[in-house]
Amino acid sequence: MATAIAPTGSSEGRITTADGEALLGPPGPRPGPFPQDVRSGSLQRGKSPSARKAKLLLKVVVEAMRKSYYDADSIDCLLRWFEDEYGMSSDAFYDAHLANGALPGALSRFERHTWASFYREAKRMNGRSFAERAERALATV
Amino acid sequence: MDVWTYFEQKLREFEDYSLAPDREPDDMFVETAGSEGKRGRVFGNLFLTEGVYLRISEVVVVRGNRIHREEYAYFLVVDGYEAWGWERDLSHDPAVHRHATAAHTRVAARPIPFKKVVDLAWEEVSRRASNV
Repeated sequence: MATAIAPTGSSEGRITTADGEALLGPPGPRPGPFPQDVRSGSLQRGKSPSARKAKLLLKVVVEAMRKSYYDADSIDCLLRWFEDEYGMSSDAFYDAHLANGALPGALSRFERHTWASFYREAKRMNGRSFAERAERALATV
Repeated sequence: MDVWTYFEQKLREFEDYSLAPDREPDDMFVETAGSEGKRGRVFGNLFLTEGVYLRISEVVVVRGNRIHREEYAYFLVVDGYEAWGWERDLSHDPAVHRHATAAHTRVAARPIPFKKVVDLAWEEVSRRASNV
């Protein structure tokens, strides 16, 4: 995914504060799952090496946040990922989830929650798609 | 009022609470296509320290001029294991519950604000740091 930070107000690819303090350098590789300040152990609640800089950076990020959307196809992809990962169909999973039956041992509680949530979403979206198709079909009669 | 107002507020909360998201905002905040800004999801991991993070999933809908968390799950992961979690899961009774132990027994609970979850998470970090 492209980074959401646009070089607004930038000079030669660098986002700067009003007094010229650099917030971001030219686009580089996307950060990994461990932000640098976390990896170095310097992230502590209520403490920041440059709170002002962070606030300004956050403002830039919020203002530049690109809108993303998901649809029935996105949810189907997620369900397929779960099915491949845990070797069971989403229907079988959801039945077991409701009945508190046997589930894959490696499935975390969080993943169980999200799989069930995506499953319900898929049903809801597919139901809506059917209703919309039926509505269109009826309208053409 | 739409979900994007809520998403922007959420992003600021992450900063205020010293939570480091593991992904870009447009991977973490998504609107349901066709909902006209009235429904969406928050999904991702928020690092407190290395090895300690909150997994967050929310389904949010706009009702009137307010945001409602139709579903949510907040799980604290410490060194790869879920320490505890809070959920609103519409397929369970009670829908709102928590998992407080390693055995993950489901216990009825009142709806919990996100800020309270973060407070509990930081308390857990402090407790573990003082035990070292």
